[in-house]
Order: sequence, then C-alpha cells, then structure tokens
Amino acid sequence: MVKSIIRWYVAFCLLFIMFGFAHARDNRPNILLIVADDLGYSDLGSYGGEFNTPSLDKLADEGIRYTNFYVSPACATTRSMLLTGTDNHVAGLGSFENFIPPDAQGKPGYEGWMNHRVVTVASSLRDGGYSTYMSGKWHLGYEPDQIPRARGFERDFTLLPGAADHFSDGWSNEWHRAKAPYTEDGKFIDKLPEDFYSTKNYTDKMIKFIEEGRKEDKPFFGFLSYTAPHGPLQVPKDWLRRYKNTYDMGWDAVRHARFKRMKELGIVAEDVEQAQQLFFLPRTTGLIPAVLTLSGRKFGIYRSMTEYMDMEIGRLFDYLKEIGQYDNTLIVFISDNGAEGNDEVQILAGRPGTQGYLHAARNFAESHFNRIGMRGTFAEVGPAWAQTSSTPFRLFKAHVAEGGIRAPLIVNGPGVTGKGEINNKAILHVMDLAPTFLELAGVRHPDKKNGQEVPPIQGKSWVSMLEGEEKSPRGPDDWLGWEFFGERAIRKGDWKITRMGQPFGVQNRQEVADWKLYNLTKDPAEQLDLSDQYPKKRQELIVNWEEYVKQSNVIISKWNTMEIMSRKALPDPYPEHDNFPPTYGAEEMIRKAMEKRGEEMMRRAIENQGGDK
Amino acid sequence: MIISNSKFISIMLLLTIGGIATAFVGTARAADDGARAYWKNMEDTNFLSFQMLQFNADSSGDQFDPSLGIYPNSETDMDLFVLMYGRQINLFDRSAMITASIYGGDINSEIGVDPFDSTSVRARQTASGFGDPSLGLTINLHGAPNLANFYDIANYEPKLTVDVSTLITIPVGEYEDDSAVNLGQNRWWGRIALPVVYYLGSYAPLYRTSIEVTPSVLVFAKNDDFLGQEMENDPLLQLEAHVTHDITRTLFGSIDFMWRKGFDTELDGNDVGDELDLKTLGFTVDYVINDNSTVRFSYHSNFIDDDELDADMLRFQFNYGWNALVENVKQLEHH
Repeated sequence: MVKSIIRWYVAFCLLFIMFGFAHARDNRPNILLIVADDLGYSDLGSYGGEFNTPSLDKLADEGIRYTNFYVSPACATTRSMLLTGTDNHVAGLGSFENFIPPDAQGKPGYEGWMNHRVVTVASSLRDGGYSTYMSGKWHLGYEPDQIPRARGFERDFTLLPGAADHFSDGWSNEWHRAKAPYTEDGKFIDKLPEDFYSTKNYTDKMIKFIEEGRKEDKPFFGFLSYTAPHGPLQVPKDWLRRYKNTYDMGWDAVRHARFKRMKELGIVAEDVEQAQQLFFLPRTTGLIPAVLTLSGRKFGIYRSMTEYMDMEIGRLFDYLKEIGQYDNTLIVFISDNGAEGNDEVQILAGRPGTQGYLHAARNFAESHFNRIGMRGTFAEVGPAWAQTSSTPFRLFKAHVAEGGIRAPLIVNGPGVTGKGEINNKAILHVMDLAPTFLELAGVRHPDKKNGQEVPPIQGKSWVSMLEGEEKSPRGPDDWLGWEFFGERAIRKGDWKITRMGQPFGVQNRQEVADWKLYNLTKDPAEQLDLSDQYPKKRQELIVNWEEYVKQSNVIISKWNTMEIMSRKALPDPYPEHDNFPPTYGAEEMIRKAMEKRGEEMMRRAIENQGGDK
Repeated sequence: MIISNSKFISIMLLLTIGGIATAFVGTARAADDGARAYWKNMEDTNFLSFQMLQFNADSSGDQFDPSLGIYPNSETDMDLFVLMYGRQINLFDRSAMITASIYGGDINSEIGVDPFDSTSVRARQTASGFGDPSLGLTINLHGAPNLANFYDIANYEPKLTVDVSTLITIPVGEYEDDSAVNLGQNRWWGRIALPVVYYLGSYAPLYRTSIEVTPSVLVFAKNDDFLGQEMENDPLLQLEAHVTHDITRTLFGSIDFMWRKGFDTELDGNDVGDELDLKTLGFTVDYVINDNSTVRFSYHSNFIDDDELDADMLRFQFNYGWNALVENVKQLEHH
C-alpha cells in the first residue's frame, strides 16, 4: 500500500515536472533573417550609400556591419546555401532550372531546385522546437514537395519564382508561368489582394505569423525574403517620383561620392582604389542630360523601393519591440547577390516568335519613361547604375567578381558583442548562416534523413565571432569557392583567383592562363592581375579550386553558358528605356565596337575549341 | 539593347505632335480652339494645320453673328478652310506659342435683304474668298515652363497648366458693304482667353486624360459700313470645354462643349435682334499618322439647346509638325 502510494507520488511529481517544463518559456533567441533581393553592396546609408535607410542604419549602429560577406552571384543559388549550409552545387542549384547544361542534366546537385538530400535549417529548427515562418521569395522549387511548407516552414506566404510583378497583377518573369505562383501555408493561391504590394504584404504576413504564434510560447525562426529592389522596378504611386531628378548627374558622380563616404565610414580602406568604369559603359560627361535624367529616374525608383523596404523593416522592428521580443531576436540582414545589371525583359522577351516575346508583349510591353515604376512595366537599372550599387567593386549580379558576390551583412541581437563595430577582418559566407542559427538554437543538423546520409554543412558557425571570442570563423588556410555559369573563383585570405567568361576575362581557352590573381586587401576592386608576380600563390589557389570542384560536386561543363552566349549576354551599353532619347550616334558606335569585339572573341574561342560550333 | 534613334524619334514626335496637332486658336470663329490645343511642345517646334469646315445654320429666330453664319430667319451653308502656322517659343522662360492663320471659302445664305427685318424679302446671298487673318500669342502662367530641350521634355509631367491666350484679327478679308454675308468682318476684333488644362493619368500615350476649360472674351471694334449702317456689338463671352482621353497610343477622343453668349447688336445706335446664346456639344477623334502628322475629325451641334436654331459643324483637320533638332536626329540614322 505504502509502495503504491510512493509510486503514485513519484509519478505525480514526474508528471508535474514534465508539465512544468512543457510550459516553461523557451528562452532561446528568436531568429529573424531578412534578405533583400538584388540590393547592391553600397546602397544602404550604413554602407556609404546616399539612400535613406534609417531602420537598417540603426540596426547597423546597434549591431555589427561586416564588409567581407559573400553570397552567390544569383538569388536561387544563394538561397539554397543560406537554407542548407551547403554549397549550391550540393543543394541542387548547380545551375538554374532552365539553364542546366546538357552534360549536367540528371546529375545530383543539378536538379534546378533544392533537392531532398539536403535538410533546411527551417526543418531542423522546427524539429528543435522553433516556430518557423517564411514570407516572400522562394525560387527553390515549385512542386508540392519543394515548396516552403514541405521544407520546414510551418507558416508561409511565398512567391515561388525568382521575380514577379510587385503589384496584384502577379505577372511572372518566366514565360512558361505567365502568372507567378504563390503559396500560403502550403496551399497554392491564384489571386492576390487588389491592394497587394510585395514589400508591404510580405511584412504584414511576417507580423501576422509572429503574432498568431505567440500563444505557443516558442521562439521563432522568421525568413523574411523581400523581392525588393529586384526588377521590375515598381513602387506605390506616392513613392514613384521622390527621386525624379536626384540622379541627373549620372553614375560617375554618384560612384565617386559613395566611394568617398565608404572610406569615411571605414567600409573600405583609405588606400584602395575603386573599380574602373566598365569598358562598355560611356562616361556620363559624354551623354546628353536627357539620357542621364531618364536613366537616373530608374535608379531613383530603385532607391524608393529600397527605402520603402527599410520603412517596412522598421515597422516590423517596432512590432517586435511592442511585443517585447526585439531584444531577444537575433536579426540578420543580407542581400542575396550584387545589383542587377542585365535587362530581364530583354532576356525574357527573347525573339519574335517565342513564348517569352509574347508574354512580354502582353504583360510588360509598356516602357514609356513616364510609366516606369507602374503596373505593366518591367524596367531595371542597367549596368551603369548596377556598377554604382556595387561600388567600389567590379561588375554586378551574375558574375563572380566582387560586385556580384560581396553583399552587405548586418547582425544584431542577444549575445552580439562589439556593437556599432565595422568588422573588416571576418571572411564570411552565406553558408555560415545555417550552422550559426543551429548553434544558437542548440539544434543539431541531422546526419541522416529517411535512411540516407545528409550532406554535411560546409559553412562555419559565427557564434564565437558574435560573442567576441574571435574576429573571423575562417583562418588563413580556409578558402571559399564559386562556380556560376562557367565563371569560377576562389577566395583565400587576402587572395582571390577568378576565371571569367567573355568579355570580362577569358581571352581563349588556355585554362591556366585564364585564371587571374588579385590581392583583395590592397585591390578589392580586382583591377590588377598579379598572376605574373605571384605564380605560386595563383597555383595554390588553383589547387584549392580543384578541391572545391570535388568537394562541392561542381560539374565543369563544356557548355560554358557565359562564353557561348557572350555576345547575347552583354548587358546594355547603358541604361535606357525604350530607346529614348538618342545619344547622337554614340550607341551605334558602341554597338559596332562590341559586335566586332564579340565576333573576334567568338572566332578565337571556336578556334581554341577545335572548331566546335 | 542598343538605342535605336527611330524609336526615340517616334516617342519624341508623339510628344511634340500631341500638342501640335491641335493648336488652333480662334482662327475662324466658326470653330473652337479644339481639344488639346494648349498642350506644350519643345521650343522651336513648328506646325502647320489645314482644316476644312462645313458649317450649317438654319435659323427661325433673331440671333445674329455673321462670323458664325447665323442670321435672323436664314439658312446658311459655309464651306471654309483654315490654314495656320504656329511655333512654340520661349517667352520669359515660360512655354509660349505664336500663331498666324488665314481662312477662306464660300458662304451661301438665304437671308432677308434686311437681315433685321423678318418681313423683308428673302434672297440668296453668297460670298467667297479669304477672310480676315489673325495673329495669336499664348503664354503659360502656371505649370509649363519653357521646354527648351529633350531634358525638359523628358521631365515634363504636367498636372495643371494655366495659360493666357490673346488673338487679334486684322480686317483685310473679303468684304462687300452692300451684302450682309461676308467672309471678312470689316473691323478689328480680338480675344483674350484663360485656357486651363488639368491632366489625369500618366503623361504617356495611352494613359493621358485631360479636362480642359477655356473661358474667353471677344471684343469687337465698330463696323462702320454694314449695309450702309454703323454696326456695334457687345463683347461675346465664350466657354469652351473638353474631356479628352487616349483610346490607343495613337488615337485620342474628346467630348467637346462650347457656350457662346452676348454679342448684342446695335445698328446706328438701335438694338436689333437677340443676343447670341449658343451651346454646342460634339466630339473629336484624332489619329497620329506618323512621326510628323495627325488627322482629326470633329462634329459639333447645338442639338441640346434652342428650338429656333439648328447649327452644326463638321471639321476635317490635317496637322504637320516638325522640330529641326529632331529632324536632324533622324538624319543621323543614315550616317
């Protein structure tokens, strides 16, 4: 009898303890990852830009800015890495869905969507007791087993493709899906609210998810994946003309002003130079004011989109403060790649007779300069302003030059020490986010999934760095690798090698000779090829490249897209819209020069491939 | 994408021609200024306008305005042409326009020998030849600084423009002092107007809508020899209004309204006839043919008012505009 009473007593106590644990507030930090889309390195005020971004600047002042943070040259590849901690060639984004080269098709890592071998940080955090929310762009798969709900997010409001009309029309930037598919809590939705504007609605949804999840007393992982300021350049009417004539002076002056401010802020060192203007872009002094004002108008809308996003981020921060969770939230802000320098509608439209052409004609044909930024238009800033956003670096999105792969990173939250600091030492990568979040949450990355081995995380946790125990998670022997449409790069310590396609690097197919070597500490703009002075260093990094290829499942295709498409892949000579206004023949001269150069390069490339046409 | 001059030129000229096509300021009082008459062009843009008008007035009352072909108890057919030249100029850094116009044609009227005596014998009277030439000047007061170059055009997104427009007509046209029906008026007359245009929608083809209101006052000197008598007229008050809208990128339509009131007549100091009180409603369609040219068709009638008068007007208009700089840009295409 006594034993029985004791047994019951012990059982009751255990139950009480378990019940108590179950209802204790989980004090692990919330994690909020905010990703801007195609935001250039130097756009934010806190990175030297003239944009008014008070919310993010305050975050930077209270947290830490990092100046050596790396991403992939494009969005989907970056996103696959940030969610899995593995290289994009492992995670299934070895190439984009529609660009997988013939000799990589069907190979693991080249699925074109985030494959099921990898496990997302959202899944791990969900299984580890976090509420997981996503709002915004996905671009990692369209099928029911590929969408956010299937990949670890309990709540979501998601744009599945890489870009879409920012308003309720919902036109996609893909011809085969004219209407962009969205999902909400795992269900496909076919209609957006009439007053939909991407940035506002994504913020609304994130706030809604957090608010509705509060009753669970669980920490949350929020992935707020904005589509701003990705094209099409579109912004609500009140914001449309805020910077109508602000950029009439053209890109040269803005680049120089930014570079000066970046030095003053300490974002770049005093003794470095910025990249020379890209060879195919004209000096602004040679252009008539009408060209400058109209190209500047696009950049003004891009700025408005960014500032609108900053305003919405501020709204989200205010909400977190209101519910008392701001100080318990690790906030990470990044951009997914460099600024966009290409014209997506031009690519989308293809040629007369194609589906893309018809889709563009139906939905994005309007290009009058007084309509840019409104519904039915698909303007982008073009290469001249993209290189401005990338100040001080060379090139922009879609390239492995620093302008394509270096991005702003701001971190603040509990446990972050050295607030207000600008960290120029740490060499960081977007793959580091997943292990950092997992360590903070005390959650393990699984070794196996459905009996299959899960690829190990390749990124490095920043927790020690954030706590001030070290300046960088990477030592002098650690390297980072990139391969994107045939362009290649390795960064190791101060050094970087690149091998880029026409017309930015490769002159022929002499593999070794095509690698260029830069010292990024002295020359972050990659202007001076040091291959001849430091052949051993270059060779050392080429060996690292070969390791990268093996380690990350990179397939070196003989179909090097950037080289094969070099002439077509050339960006516009400078931003303009619907060919207005004229430059009195200058553009024709550029076109002819580029054609001649392109033909010559193509001829040489074909010769070096043994006449393979 | 490489800039193509031809595309630029199209857009450039759409901007300029959009206004050119309609700039017609009081050249013949039989017609209105027209829709989009006060839209602005780049400085030094020239335009020529040729109009053919057919005007019919069938009156059983006592209203009188010879320039409109309205006589007491008459039937009048007017076949007129109007030729006008205009040029956009810079005046005090405001957008301004000068115009010169001449009209002519034929008037056939069955009218009383004494037009102010309804019992007088009716007879057919005709006139043909040229009317009085006019000179006009319009200057913007608000909303349209001078558009000196492509930069200004690129940044021009008007919301509300207010102009002042003046016109003077020189009495050198065909006039017979023994006929009530004439093309010329044998007197100076002038007009001052305050055109107001409110723009809705984007200032881009396909999206432009405007509400246009032009109140004006016309004043007339004495005609010292109208059928041997001295004729004086009170000022004529005029209110012209249009609601215009782009139907396609190269076609716009307009609903047109005109109200004319006043113009009391005295002959040798004695009041005769009724004052003019004429309201017309109509429509206009305007089509851009190419970079330089547009055509326009209008029909107006007073069917909303006045049982004693049936007046209507058909108008066909061809406009040609050019700007030397833009034409030179076109030439570069051939280099």
